[in-house]
Amino acid sequence: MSKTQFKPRILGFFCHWCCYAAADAAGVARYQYPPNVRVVRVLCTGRIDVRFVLEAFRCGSDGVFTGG
Amino acid sequence: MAETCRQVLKDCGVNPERLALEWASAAEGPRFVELITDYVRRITALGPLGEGAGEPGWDVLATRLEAAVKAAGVPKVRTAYGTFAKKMHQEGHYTGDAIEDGVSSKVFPTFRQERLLLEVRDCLREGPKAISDLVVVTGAGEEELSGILSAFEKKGLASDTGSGWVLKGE
Repeated sequence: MSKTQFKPRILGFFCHWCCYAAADAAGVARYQYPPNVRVVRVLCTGRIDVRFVLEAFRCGSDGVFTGG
Repeated sequence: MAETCRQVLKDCGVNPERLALEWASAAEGPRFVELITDYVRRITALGPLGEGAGEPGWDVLATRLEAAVKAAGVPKVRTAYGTFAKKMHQEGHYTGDAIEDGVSSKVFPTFRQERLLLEVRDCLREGPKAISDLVVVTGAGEEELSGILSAFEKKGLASDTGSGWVLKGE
C-alpha cells in the first residue's frame, strides 16, 4: 500500500460540551474536514482513562485524538 | 492521563505523537476543523500503526499493548496513579515538567513492571521461550527479564527447562 493511499483510522474521544459541539458546529457551517475520525462521545474529557487509549491502539487504530 | 499514556506508549514502541490532546470550545468550529485536518495529516505522514519510523511490527505491538491494557487495570498501578494525582493536587504543581517528572518516577515504573510480568506470563503460556525471545517481544533488557523469571521461579510459577522457560501447572 503506498503512502498516498493510506487512510488512517483514528479514534476520537470528544467531550460532549466542547469538541463534540464544535464538530457539530463545523458540520452545520459546512466546513470540510477529513473523514478519518471515528468519534466516541464522552460526557467530559476527564472521563477518559489510560485504559481507553491503550485499548484503542491495541484494536489497531493509527491514532487517538482527544478533544476537550 | 495523557502523560502516562505517552510514556507507556513510548515504552511499548508506539510513537507517542499518535496521541493528541487538543482543546476546542463549542463555538470554535473552524478551529476544530483546523486541528483535525492537521492531526490527520501528521498521522498520514507517520504511516500505519507499527510501520512508522522506529516502531516494531504489529505482531509485537499487539502483545505489548494487550499486556499494557491489562496492566492499566492492576490495582497496584491504579494506586500509584491515584497517589500521584492526590500528591499533585496537594502541592498544586501543575506544570508540564512537574507532571512529566512525577509520572516517570512514580507511576511509570510500576506500570512497566506490571506490563512485563503480564506479558512474560502471556508469552510463556504459548510455549517454552528462551530469554532472547522474550527480549524481542517485550522490548525489556535481559537483566530485567531474568529478574522477573527468577521471581516466577521462586513462586513456583515457572521453571527453566534448559531449552527455554515454561509455566508450571498449566
